[in-house]
Amino acid sequence: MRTAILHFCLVAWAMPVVAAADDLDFFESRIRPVLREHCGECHSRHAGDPEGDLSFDSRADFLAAAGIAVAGDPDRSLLVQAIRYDGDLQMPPAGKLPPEVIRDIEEWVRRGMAWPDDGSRSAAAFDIASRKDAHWCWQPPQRSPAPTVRDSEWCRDDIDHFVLARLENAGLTPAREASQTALARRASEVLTGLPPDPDAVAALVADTDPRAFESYVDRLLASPHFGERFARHWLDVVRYAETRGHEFDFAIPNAWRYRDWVVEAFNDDLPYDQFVREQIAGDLVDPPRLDPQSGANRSVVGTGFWLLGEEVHGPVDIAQDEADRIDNRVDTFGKAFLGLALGCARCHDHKFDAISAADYYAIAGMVMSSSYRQAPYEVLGANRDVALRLTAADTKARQTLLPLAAALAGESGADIESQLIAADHAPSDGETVIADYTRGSHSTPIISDAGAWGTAAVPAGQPTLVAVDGSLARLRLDPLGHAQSDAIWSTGRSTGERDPGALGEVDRAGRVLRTPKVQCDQGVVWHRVRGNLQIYVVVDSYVMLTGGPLYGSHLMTVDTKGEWQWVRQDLRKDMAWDAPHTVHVEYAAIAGEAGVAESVAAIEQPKRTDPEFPGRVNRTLESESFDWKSPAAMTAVNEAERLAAARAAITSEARLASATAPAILDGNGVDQCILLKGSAARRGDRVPRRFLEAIDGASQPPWPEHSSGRKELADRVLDPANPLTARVIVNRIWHHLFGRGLVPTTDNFGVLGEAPTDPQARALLDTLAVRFAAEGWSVKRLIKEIVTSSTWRMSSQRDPVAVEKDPLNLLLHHYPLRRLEGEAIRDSMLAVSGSLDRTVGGPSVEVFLTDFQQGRGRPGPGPLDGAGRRSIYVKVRRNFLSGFLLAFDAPVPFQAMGRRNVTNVPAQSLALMNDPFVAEQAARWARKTVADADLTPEQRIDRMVREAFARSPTNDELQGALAFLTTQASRHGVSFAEQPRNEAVWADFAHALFNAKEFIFVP
Amino acid sequence: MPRSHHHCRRFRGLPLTRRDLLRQAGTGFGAVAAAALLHRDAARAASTGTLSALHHAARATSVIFLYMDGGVSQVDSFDPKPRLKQDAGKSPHSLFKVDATQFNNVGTILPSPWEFKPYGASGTPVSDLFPHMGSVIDDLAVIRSMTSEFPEHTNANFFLHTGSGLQGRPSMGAWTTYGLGSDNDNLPGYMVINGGLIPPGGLDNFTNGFLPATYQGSIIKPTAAGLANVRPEETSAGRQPAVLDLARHLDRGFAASLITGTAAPDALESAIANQELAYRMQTEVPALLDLAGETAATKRAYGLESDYEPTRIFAAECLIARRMVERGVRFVELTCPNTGADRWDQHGDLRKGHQNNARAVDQPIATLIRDLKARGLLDSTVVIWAGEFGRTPFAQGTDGRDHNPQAYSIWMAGGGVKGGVVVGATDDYGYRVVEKKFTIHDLHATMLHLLGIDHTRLTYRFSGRDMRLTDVAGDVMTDVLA
Repeated sequence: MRTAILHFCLVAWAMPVVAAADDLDFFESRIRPVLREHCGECHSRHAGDPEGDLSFDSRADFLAAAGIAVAGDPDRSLLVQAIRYDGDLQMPPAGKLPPEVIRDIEEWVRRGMAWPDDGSRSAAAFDIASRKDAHWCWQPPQRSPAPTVRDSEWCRDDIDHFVLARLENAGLTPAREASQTALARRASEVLTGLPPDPDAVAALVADTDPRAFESYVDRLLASPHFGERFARHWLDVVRYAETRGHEFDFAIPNAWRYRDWVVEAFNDDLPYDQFVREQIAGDLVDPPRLDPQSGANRSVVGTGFWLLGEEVHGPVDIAQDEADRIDNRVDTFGKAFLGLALGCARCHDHKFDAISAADYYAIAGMVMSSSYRQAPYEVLGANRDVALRLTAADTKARQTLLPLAAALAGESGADIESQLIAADHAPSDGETVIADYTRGSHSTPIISDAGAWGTAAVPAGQPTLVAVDGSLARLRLDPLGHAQSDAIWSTGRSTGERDPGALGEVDRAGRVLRTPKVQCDQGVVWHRVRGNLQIYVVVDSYVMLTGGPLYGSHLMTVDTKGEWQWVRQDLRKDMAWDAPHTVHVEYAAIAGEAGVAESVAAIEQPKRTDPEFPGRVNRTLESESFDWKSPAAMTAVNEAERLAAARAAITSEARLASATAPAILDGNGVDQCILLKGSAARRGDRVPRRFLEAIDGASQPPWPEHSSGRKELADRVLDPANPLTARVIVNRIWHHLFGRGLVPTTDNFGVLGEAPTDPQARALLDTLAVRFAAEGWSVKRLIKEIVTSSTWRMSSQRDPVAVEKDPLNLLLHHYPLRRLEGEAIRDSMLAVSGSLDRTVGGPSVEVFLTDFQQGRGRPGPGPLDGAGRRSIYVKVRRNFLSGFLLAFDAPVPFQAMGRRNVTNVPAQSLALMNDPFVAEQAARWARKTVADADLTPEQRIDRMVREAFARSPTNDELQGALAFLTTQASRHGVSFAEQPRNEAVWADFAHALFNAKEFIFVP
Repeated sequence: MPRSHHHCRRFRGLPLTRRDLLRQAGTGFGAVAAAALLHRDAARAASTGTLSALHHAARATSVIFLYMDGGVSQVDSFDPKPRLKQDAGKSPHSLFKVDATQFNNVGTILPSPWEFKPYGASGTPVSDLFPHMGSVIDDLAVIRSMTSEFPEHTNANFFLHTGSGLQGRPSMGAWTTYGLGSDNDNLPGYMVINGGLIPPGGLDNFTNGFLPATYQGSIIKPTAAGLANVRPEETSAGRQPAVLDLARHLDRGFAASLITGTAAPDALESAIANQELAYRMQTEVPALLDLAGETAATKRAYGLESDYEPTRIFAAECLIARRMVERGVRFVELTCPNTGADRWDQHGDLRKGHQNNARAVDQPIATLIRDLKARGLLDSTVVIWAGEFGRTPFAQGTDGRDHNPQAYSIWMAGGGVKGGVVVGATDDYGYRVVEKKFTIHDLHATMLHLLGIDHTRLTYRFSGRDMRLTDVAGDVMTDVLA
């Protein structure tokens, strides 16, 4: 019962409260059983969310679906029409009811729909306040004093007090401290994802300073590989990929710039609040964080966060597609920063958490108000400065030259500006003005992805110098107010990848003028423009103009040869446009100067009355008889030339080449409608943009109209009153350091997540969270505090009593054995074999593909060893993920995945046994090992075991290895005694070390 | 590829099971630990499913899913519509409400180029595209009223495979093995035989999604090479057991270093057990794919000697599917071979494209049904034949058909399925369902039902919800139950 319900909601409702007894009997015997049997599966609260919000559970439920039937009038009752299969709505969908049942229901409606009062509505009302009170995560974190413990000697810091206190309460003791060699390997793999250098391990073991391990940790945290390791963790949370998946797996151009931004953020220990702020609203951070050397805007690159999701090309229902895209962004936002499953509130108020559907759509509005671009982040600041100065120069030129031009034309100098404002044209019926730049300071605000379109609209009558006959310069007034892109900007060039398909045929970065978003009922857009332009009507924020079967009409190019023209764009070629769509327009200059006066959604060409003043002046100045040699004219032209030269000096400072990164371009604020059941076809009430009611209350200051409001959103996420943000990140870090969070469900702190294991765990989490925020949000400082605690230094050896009492190690009586992630396994192989390229950052290396990986959009396969680059630099193609990494549980990037699976499958063992990459690395490791001629076999074995496991081999292992080498040599047909440096034999030994579980498990 | 059984046995002879590992470890494993491990061994945690008991008596124990990638036209296969001839050339807009289509190139009513004939005792009509399937029609339950929610391939594929139009959700094969485990300790429980066409949406159609990776589809080619990394390099095969022996030697020491009077960590033991399964798969998978032991008559019947290469490929897929079911593989999916046209997705040149695709799959599928039946396996195997959606009764352009998710035909056969019936009906044009509208959720619910599973009770907690293959929907299609 979809659209029909809305359609019928105005039908009058009449239903007797008191009914005759036989009518009630009729209902109970003939109607209620039928409703239960044939309709109850979908239309009941017992089955979850009743379809169409219609439930037959009780009279009250039935009444709540007002309009479903008209007592006494079966023919006008939707219920009866539906069961008769009369119209579009046919119920039940599985097949028409038997005729006698249909007759009964008609009869029941005719007799007044008797239904006894059988209680109130079946579902409990949604109540944010009581839900908030009932669940821990909404309560503000409190700092607790460190608990007292019996064995305070054991404790190095507050963390240890919390952990030991609960162990002592349970009658348990912590495991002894791990050996320095074990700690060296653990810290190196956990903090950098690479095995330690054997010399560094030896140095740590030899170091007698009691703070030797602290210094060792400092060195790891200072290593650029730390940033790579923790960046990969964060990329799991933001569903990072470099392609858009779906059928052809088109690129997200330059997505790796975001990845490098994350690596740098961790390496620079960017305070976490800034890290969050720049991802939510880095385009709006004022002032932005600039690269100290290049001046590049680093803040804006963080907003790539929003744009890493899947995108569908050629969706038939583009509005629904937008709703799905926005959903992925809202859901990822909620999980990443707040640990909340906001996505669950898309179709209805959250079933368990204090999150309403209105909360969801309040945030969805901010996402909807934000559009995609490739930002020329290297030059944003410099060119914005140029743009400001150009606007000032143009204003000055106008003030100087307009009176001169008017005087030359014999116009009175009085009140010129008032003659230049276009008649205030109220849009005619059927017109929707998308943007109007003709009205001077009253124009639509300029939104542009760099400074290209200035900072304000140019009013009508702007004086310009025009060359006549190549030499003689004359003055002319521009007839229309407009947004203007100087010719210099269309010579800009981006140095990275461009958008795939038709969109990227123009180098758009730094050239785009973006109108506000409006609701468009017409499906035809008129543009009043001048110059050579790409015009892109963005419908429901759809960007996949890749040459697919639909939506080619969204994009056009035009060249008006320097004249103002109305240009028509008919979007109905691709879609019926039988419901309104949200549109904005993006104009990009292709070559030369470009201007945009107005964009209007209308079927017929808009009619406008332009100001007469410029035309009058121009006619005089252009007439044959006008004397440009007169002193007054010469003075005016000289002045104009002087101003033009000053202007040219400013444009010469424009920075024309820039790398680009996917980023948000902020727009006007658009409030979203609640989409009933998440369906774009069923719009409910409009929700003003705001933050979650459970945190900020029901009445919040209004969100800005001229911005999406993401800046305010970031403020609310980071507000000290927000109980979630600090807890969520502290818990993520704890999870990465121990393999399990204090809240195990890292992405969900709600009712359906897992709560902290015990009150001490919560007290510890809260205390760390409060201090983390209060002490400057330093991730490195928090990591160091945890890693140097006695808790983290515990051995993985397990006490049998403790295992019996706490088999899952929830209380941390030992350090858990950790299975390395696929990336760390692959990188560790590269490291020990000597093949690792330690370059930090840069474009991704193409993923290696086997013959088993086929399908549309398949790239040319990359090198087997990934050119020796760390796994974080292997291209993440949604449809062609690395088979090796997938086997070891690298996540499929579709939503936040802060906690990976840790599985054991045969594919992992098969990879370690037979994958050509592993064999190649074994061979390289062998070659490296035998290269040094002076070593004995025992020394080689010792070196390789130390490289792999950061410890020396036991005597038993040494003897086993020697025996293996001897017999394995004979299988190769050589004598080990005669050829102790045979590479093939040593490669087999290396392969055995890779297959030893100690290589992929870290104690 | 020849393998040394001597080496094979030698490796197996060392730590074949955790019991052996314990017996041989000697140092460090105490008696208490041995008892604990033996107990877990008995539970066979690695290969059993999550369900401790079936929800009701199972009618079948395995599934073969014949996936018709691209969308077979219902009005050209199992749903005859004489009215199309009558209204040929008319604009469909004049006859019924036309939904938006992906390519938005709506032509006129296009009658089927193929004739329909009744087959079998049931007299069920089948078009000339599928004479072989016609010959086994009395074993098939034809469902003419299937629907999808998505009119384009990728989302529709995800929906068909995972019950969700979105990427990354667990496939029905993953759900099935998650519920039931595998009956073969030497092979994965969910195997996909890749005929050459990976569907739009890619490998995520076969993913375990948020379920543990144990349940992901293992993709295998119907050729001797088979599976990624399943064979050692020719040159290293003979030396591999010794390499693994040494690794195992190191593992024993590693395990011992983590024990103070109790068991080694579970994760470590599982990893060791999995290496053993992987090792056995190196033998088992090539044996599975080696068709030398099949009789000439069997091979001929499947179409392995066809002069049309796609038929030979699909024949091998069907034969291997039977061999997998024989070996206890829980869920087998077959993808189509490449016939030169774009799968079953005939937006143009319907006649040639559908004819070639039918030629590839018709004979192998009919033989598979007969062969399963002859071996007594059809009773315990659910066979599902389905695409992601149907096609429009009107032309796209002049000689193609666009996607139609509003109505299409699929069939089911095997354990617990009533043969020789036709369920559901479409309107006069085969465009919309008018009787017994079914959804993909219903198909999934029915499949699980036949396996002894109540689809509402096979759940996995993820992202704060108890997730299901059937989401929040699905009804068992009782009309197809025997």
